[in-house]
Amino acid sequence: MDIWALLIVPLAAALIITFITRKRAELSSYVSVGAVVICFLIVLPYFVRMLGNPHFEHIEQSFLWLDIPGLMVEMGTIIDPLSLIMLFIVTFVGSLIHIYSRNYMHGEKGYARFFASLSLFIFSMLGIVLANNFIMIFVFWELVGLASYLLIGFYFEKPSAADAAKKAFLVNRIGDFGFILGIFVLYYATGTFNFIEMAHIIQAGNVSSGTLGLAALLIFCGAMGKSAQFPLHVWLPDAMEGPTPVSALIHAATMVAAGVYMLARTGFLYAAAPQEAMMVIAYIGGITAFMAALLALGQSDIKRIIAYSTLSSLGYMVMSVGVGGTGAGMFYLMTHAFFKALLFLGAGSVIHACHTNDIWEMGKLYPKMKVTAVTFILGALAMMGIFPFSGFWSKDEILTSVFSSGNYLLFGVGVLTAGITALFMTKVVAVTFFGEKRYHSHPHESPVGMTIPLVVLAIFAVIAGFAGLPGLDPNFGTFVSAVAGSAAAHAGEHGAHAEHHFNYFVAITSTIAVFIGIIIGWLIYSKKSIDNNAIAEKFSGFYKALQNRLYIDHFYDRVIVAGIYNNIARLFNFIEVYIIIHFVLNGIAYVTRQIGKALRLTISGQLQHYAFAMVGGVLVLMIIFVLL
Amino acid sequence: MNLLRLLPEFIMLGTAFLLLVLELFLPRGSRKGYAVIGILGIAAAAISLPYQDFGPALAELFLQDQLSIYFKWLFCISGVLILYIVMLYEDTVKNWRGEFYSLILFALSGMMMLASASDFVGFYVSLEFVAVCLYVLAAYLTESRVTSEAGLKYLVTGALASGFLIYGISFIYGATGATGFAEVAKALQTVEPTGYLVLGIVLTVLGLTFKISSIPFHVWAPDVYQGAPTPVTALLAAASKSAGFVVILRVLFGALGTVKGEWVAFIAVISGITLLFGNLAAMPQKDLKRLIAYAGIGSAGYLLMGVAAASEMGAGAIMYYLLTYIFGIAGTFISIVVFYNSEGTDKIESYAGLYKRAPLLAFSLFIGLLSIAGFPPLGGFIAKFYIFMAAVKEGLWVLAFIGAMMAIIAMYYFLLVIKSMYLRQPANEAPIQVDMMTRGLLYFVNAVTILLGIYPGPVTDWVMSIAQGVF
Repeated sequence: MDIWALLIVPLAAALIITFITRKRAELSSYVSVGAVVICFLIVLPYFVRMLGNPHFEHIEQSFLWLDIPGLMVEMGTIIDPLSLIMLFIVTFVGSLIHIYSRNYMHGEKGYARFFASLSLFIFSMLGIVLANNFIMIFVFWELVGLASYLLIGFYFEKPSAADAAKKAFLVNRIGDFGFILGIFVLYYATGTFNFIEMAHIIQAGNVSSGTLGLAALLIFCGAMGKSAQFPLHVWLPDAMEGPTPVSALIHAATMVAAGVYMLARTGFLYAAAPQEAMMVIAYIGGITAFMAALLALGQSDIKRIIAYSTLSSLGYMVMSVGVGGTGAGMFYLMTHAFFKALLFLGAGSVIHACHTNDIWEMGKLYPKMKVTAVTFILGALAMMGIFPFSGFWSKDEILTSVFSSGNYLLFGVGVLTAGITALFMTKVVAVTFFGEKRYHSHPHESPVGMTIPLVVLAIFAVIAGFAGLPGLDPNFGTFVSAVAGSAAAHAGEHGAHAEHHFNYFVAITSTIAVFIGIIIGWLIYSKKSIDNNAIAEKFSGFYKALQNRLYIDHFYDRVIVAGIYNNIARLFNFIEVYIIIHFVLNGIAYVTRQIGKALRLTISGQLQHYAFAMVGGVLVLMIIFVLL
Repeated sequence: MNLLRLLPEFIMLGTAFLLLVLELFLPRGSRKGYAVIGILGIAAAAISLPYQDFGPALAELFLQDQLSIYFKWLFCISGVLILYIVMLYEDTVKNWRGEFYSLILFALSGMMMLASASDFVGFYVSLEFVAVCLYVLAAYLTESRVTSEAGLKYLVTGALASGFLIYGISFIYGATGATGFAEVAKALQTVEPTGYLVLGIVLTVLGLTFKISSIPFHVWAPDVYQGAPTPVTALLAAASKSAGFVVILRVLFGALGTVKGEWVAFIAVISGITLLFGNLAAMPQKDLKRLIAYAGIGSAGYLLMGVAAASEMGAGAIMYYLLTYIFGIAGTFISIVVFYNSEGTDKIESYAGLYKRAPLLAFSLFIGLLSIAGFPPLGGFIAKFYIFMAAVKEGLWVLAFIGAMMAIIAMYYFLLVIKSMYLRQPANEAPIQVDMMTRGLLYFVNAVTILLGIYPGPVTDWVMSIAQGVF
């Protein structure tokens, strides 16, 4: 029963804050922090047990939620290595960020509302992680979107925040449109929503590969929305309008990774799906990774730079899943959760001190904020993937799986992305913490409540990579491949899939790319031997395109949204008002009127048109009926 | 004495007449007491429901069975909620008369009869009875030009639809020689479907689309929803739509179920176009009642998806959907009336910052609209999911595709309202007062909407057991 407490405790916290302690901000924050820490303490014993026993039997608990003849839906939880890793990340990083938020958000108007939404988020996120079937994951998937909506729109006094919240929600809905259709297709093909039952049916070869490919791509649409993959990536940078701890927790460490987690959870589907479908996924991941890294170069807002790097990392993970390296993707997800949360919280600490997001208004902060600077640099090194930080191991594993799958083009993209990542991370570090002083206020180190989470995360950002150390047994890959229902577990070849050989070629190539990136960054932003304005001028068109996010958002706003909103909806109005009423009906009415005049039976008015519209509709439908 | 099977209807009619007579003797003034009498009358009718025995009544024109009991429950629930809304609404209207309450009760008793109709004659008489009451109600505010116009539009389009309906019924009668639903079904087992029968089915279906506001007889809905007094809009949205669907279940599934091959594709086409039209046309709306009218057209499209599935699951899904829809509409309209009493407008932009001014109203609209849009884990999600699964099971992939796409659009236009309420600054910070009684009711309605989403078991069991007898 303690598993269900993982859902009940944070939900109760959200309700208690909303209905009881709303007026007492300080108490509300304790309720919320307490809830997430309790969840962490519940997860910890399971996690430790799993570390001791990699071939841990999965635990499934469920009850019937919807019991209709021909439609059974359970509400159930599944505990296996995969969900435990994710539970650990969510509750551990979540606890740290809750603690950090108590100081960061101090004195904000909606303090209690903020913590209520955070608890709602933890509840929904844990629901996704624990879900043992598609409907439950979908329900929590939507709830997590709602929590994210509330948190992005937290500063609703700013219209941009309200717009960003709406954009995030709607773009996610577009992805979910495919997701739910995919669920329908799978249910139609297998007759169940349960992951493990579905895995057995698919592994028994009872589903045609065309259906599997279609389902795999449709389900992937859901992941594209949540994990912000091209072309649905546009909401994530805007989501930075939310408070920084939210960016760290939801839009870096956990929620956006839910898409990748879902792909890993439904790995049985992707293992069986045809190669073409997988290539689509891999290339979408690759495009996202590369494009986002480029876009990060054009930004000067510290949160946006990190947001684009998150996009890029998510692309990496998706690419890895696409080439069959689910274990590598999950490994990256874990290390990424630590170093990216760290980077965001570090950025928050800097923003807290300087009251600006623009890195060009910071500079030489290192002497003023030593803890923040050191932890941020450690996070940046992990993110770049420098030996022996965590990012090195996880990135290396992804690149190895891409390389060994024979997709050399994607491998090239991955290496190039690593180089660009190193370049813009060097830029952030150099411009923010070193160089000359450009800030106007009096920055000082953040309070202990904020620096302790930074230090803890920094430790994990440095060492978490050793969990996946090649040659270590059991290592991270062992756990992921022992996932219930996965192809490897089914075949009984534990660890065979995950046992990967350290590839020196890959490691050396990517390290060289990273060092080239760092050197260029250092030359431009620290040593100034290359004038950064001169480059911007030389490639002014490209630079402008980068600053305008390659015009993708413009395209959506002007062509798609305006297209749907202004044209299709108005078209319907137009058809109704002008074509039916004014043209057809007025035409008919005109004729009628002329006849009526002749007969001295003139009746005029809109209503007549309506009646004509109805009769016209009847006639059209009758014709359709005849044609059917 | 099979007339006892019509006892709930008689109780409602009696209450309505009582109010009419009372009106003769009472001086002008507040009539809020009528709402209490009306609610008590409905409660009495509801109490009699579990004690009803099943079987025909009144020369087999009516039939009491599980299906009729379920829908009578729906009408009782929506009746109580709507009478409460009328009571709230009363203050804003000059020259208020008590007959408004009796008209609503008359309409509800007509709908109850409709739920029991087992013969085309009984069905048509009940339908017109309901329609006449609604025509008067829609045009009730004689001082408002908009309302009078809405009422007239409703009347004329309704009459036109009735014409189609009765024409269709006569063709069906001609083809089968029977007017009782059971006899028609029996006759169709032996009679080969002819062109006349098909024509009859098509015309009957088209006539019925008026009641449920789907194409092609949807044109009245936006004007009437916007122009009619708000309680009448709620009555049209919740109860009248349910009445339309119980008739569709009786006629299409019951009487014409044996020839479903003739009408399934036709319903599917109507459903698809209705889904597209209602949701896309809702996007640019600026008035909340008008927006709900278009969304209601969209909902009719989803419900028709269940009809097109033509299965027991589809019937169960329709019944479940209507229950969640009534509660979604109730929460929304109670909030709309309270807001209107304070602000005198239904414009969406005027809802800006409602969260700060009246958190409970904003929350009720939030829950109500999200439930109608089908957002998990609210009741509307289960309902929509149920409908989708019924359609998918019958292989209606195109409809499922359109439906899923339109669910995004629905989210879009409801999100505009929600964004306005939660993420905009109010022009006027003054809080809106909500009295204790209304607060209690809103909490109850929201709780039911949420409960229907997280614990649907008891109701789904019930509707599925009813659905087994529909064909």
